Amino acid sequence: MTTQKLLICTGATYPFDALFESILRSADVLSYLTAELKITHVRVQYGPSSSSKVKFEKALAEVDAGIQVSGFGMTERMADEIADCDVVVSHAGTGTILDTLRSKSPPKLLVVPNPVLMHGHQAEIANALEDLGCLVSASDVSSSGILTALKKLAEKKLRALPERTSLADRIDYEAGTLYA
Amino acid sequence: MFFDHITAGACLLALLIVTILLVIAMLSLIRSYVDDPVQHPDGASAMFVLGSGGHTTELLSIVNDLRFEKYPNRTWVSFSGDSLSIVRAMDLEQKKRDEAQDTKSGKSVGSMTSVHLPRARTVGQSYFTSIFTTLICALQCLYTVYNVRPDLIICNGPGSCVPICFAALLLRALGLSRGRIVYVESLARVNSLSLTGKMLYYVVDRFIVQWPQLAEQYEGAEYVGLIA
Repeated sequence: MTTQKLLICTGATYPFDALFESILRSADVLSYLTAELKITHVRVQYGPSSSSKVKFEKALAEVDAGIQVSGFGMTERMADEIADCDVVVSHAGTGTILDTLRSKSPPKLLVVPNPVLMHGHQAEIANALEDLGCLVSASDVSSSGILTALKKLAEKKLRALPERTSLADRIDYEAGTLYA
Repeated sequence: MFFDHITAGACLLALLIVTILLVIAMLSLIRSYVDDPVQHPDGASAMFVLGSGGHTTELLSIVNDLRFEKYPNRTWVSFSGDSLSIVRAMDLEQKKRDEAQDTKSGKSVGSMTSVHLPRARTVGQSYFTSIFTTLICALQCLYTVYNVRPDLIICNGPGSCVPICFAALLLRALGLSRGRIVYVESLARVNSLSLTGKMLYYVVDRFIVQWPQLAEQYEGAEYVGLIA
């Protein structure tokens, strides 16, 4: 049997415990993951704080067999973790979004804007990239919100992120190194 | 009573800082429009200001496009509370060194240094103590920029890059350095500029945005598409 990996990514700056709790604590979401998306492994990046770790371990203890769950706080090599999985459910931070959509064979991406961010513009970027068809954005971090978005993700054919532009010429001009 | 004094003192200090910044801004504006970039045929020194998280991802992607032999003196600046960014930057340095060896171009990628600075204010810090930490941070930024006197500074937020930029502008206004600043607004800013972006919009040499609606709103902001 092939393995299908799901990565849950809360980000490294602001705690987002609700993201993994809504997935790991919901029988509906877990059964949809295993039965419909054929997910066999769930990997959780729960964040640097110790209270997040405690919450993750509590949630982990209650997960039924049938799906393998492991977790870690954070890593400087997030891109490697992302490249290793098939579906990413993440906070709507640009770092994770770029790492996911720019990886060689991009995993399917569902983002959930972190509602506690005062001046974070996670909903803004999530909507803009959903409009471009590059990802699916969940309406809220509840189990039902995530389940609805997962179903949408399963049906939808996602588009690649538009090509990127190099700033090298503009930077070289400013630095006076165009002809160096 | 005691608190009133502190508040009054803080207001005065803020006023003083704002005045100084305005003078610097005006002086350096005049200079930057007059001066073309100084040519550095033998390579320039560059300062890369690391934000954190997504800011770092975007900055590393920008720097990865540069040919390091054109920037033989590189300084990476990171801030307290963020230990991941510098590790990722060192990964990029290693990758560039490996590439230079593989191609055997004979061109050296030069050398790099890294500087770790305190932040002006950490989340949850009291207002009173943040007056002092802001001052310490500003002085350290000034010292760092004076020490390196980079020909080029690249930054993309968050707010920790602002004192670096103002330090560079001060040195430029005083004629001590001619470092030019490229600011790249985060991909996350779709419809409006960040506070950092608003503060730096009038004073940097190149202001780059990643969504067309921002270039429409802000004259002089360059839209180039996604940069990461």
